[in-house]
Amino acid sequence: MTAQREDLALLQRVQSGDESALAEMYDRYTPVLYPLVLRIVRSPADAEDAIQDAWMQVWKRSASYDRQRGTVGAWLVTVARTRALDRWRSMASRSRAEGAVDPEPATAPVDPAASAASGQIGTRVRDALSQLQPQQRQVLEIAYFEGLSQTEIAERLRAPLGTVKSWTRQGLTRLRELIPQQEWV
Amino acid sequence: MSELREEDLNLAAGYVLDALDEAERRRVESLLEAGDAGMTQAVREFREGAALMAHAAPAARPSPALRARVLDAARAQAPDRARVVERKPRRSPIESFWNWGWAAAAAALAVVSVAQWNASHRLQQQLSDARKVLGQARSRLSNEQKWADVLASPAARTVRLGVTPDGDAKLVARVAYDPASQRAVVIFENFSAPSGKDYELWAIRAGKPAALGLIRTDAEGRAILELDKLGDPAQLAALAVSLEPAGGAPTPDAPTGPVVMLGKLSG
Repeated sequence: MTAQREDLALLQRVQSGDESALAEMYDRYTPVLYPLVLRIVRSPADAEDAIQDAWMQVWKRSASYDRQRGTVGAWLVTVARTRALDRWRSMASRSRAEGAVDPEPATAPVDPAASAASGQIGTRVRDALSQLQPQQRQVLEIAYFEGLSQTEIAERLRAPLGTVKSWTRQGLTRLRELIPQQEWV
Repeated sequence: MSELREEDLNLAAGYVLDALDEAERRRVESLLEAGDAGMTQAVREFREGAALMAHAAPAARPSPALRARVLDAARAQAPDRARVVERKPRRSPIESFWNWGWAAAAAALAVVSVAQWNASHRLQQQLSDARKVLGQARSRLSNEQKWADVLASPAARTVRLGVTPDGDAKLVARVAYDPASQRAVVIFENFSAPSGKDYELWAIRAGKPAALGLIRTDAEGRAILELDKLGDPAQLAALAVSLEPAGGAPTPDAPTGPVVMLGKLSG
């Protein structure tokens, strides 16, 4: 069975209220989702809250998954990233309203056990990103981890909006080409 | 990669990163909802590429207690019972044609000349292309018609929101609201939010605010918002605009900035 078929079968069990299927999905995907969410919200406590929100959304709303628009793994990443960005924007907005500066990125020490568990794929993706043109990598990282719109990115980089759109497309296309399909989420 | 025009591929790439403005996002979603095979494929492929970015984050692990917290929370709530979506892929007209074409070609070769088959092939290709264009036009027309109906409805009310003492006197917002369909179209003019701020539209239902969305304008400060499912007309008292931190109010039921425009819809 392919990973996508296994994931679809798990998702159908989740849909029927099978908690053991949710536990299986949690074990399979949290090692990918948690580092992403922590990178966005920058605080372990908020990252855990965002991860819980994401899994509750999966538990309650698995019917919103449409396999024509991507694999189960890609959908889970999208759900977790969206929950994390919502939380980050809310925190940033609140701290601005209170006159505080935005929180600095977390500087937690690298977790050696987690590094080993993430295997080669993390290294391969970082290598692939380093092979993109700097502007392509920059727009992908800003959009993906900071959640800025392309208009906001164009303003920040002082680049034409159309150019930012092209860099985004070219960056995603190249990234996909550089990583063998069997290693995708 | 899909055979979409570069402009639409750019939209698909921005869409999977949730980095488009409102009008662009709607265009992509209307194509997806219409079953546009090219856009669906592009979104799927870009989404898989974007998901790879998750691996670029530095390795980290949550506390072991989180797993139990998630499963306890799940135990306390039943999932929604709708079925997991497993639609069969919609074939694009071109793809459908080719699938049909192989069977047709086998039969045709037995009975007609190669020249006749070539002519048939060309006609079918033209027909297929025309159907594709027609399908997309119908989808767009159907969406436009829905909003044109709001403006044409005999029950529609038109309201001009008033500027409050906290608002800029130049702000203009006109609303066409159809209580029957519970839809509204709001036209904004002269809305240029100060740096680091966004204007946000709110519904006031039974005295409580509910966020309807940020007002994303063009370079000249103009915007049109199409609002669906506004809810029970008896409860919908007014629309209001507030000036919020960039990205909008942190919670969808509590504006944090000053209310700059207000207009009653009821009575």
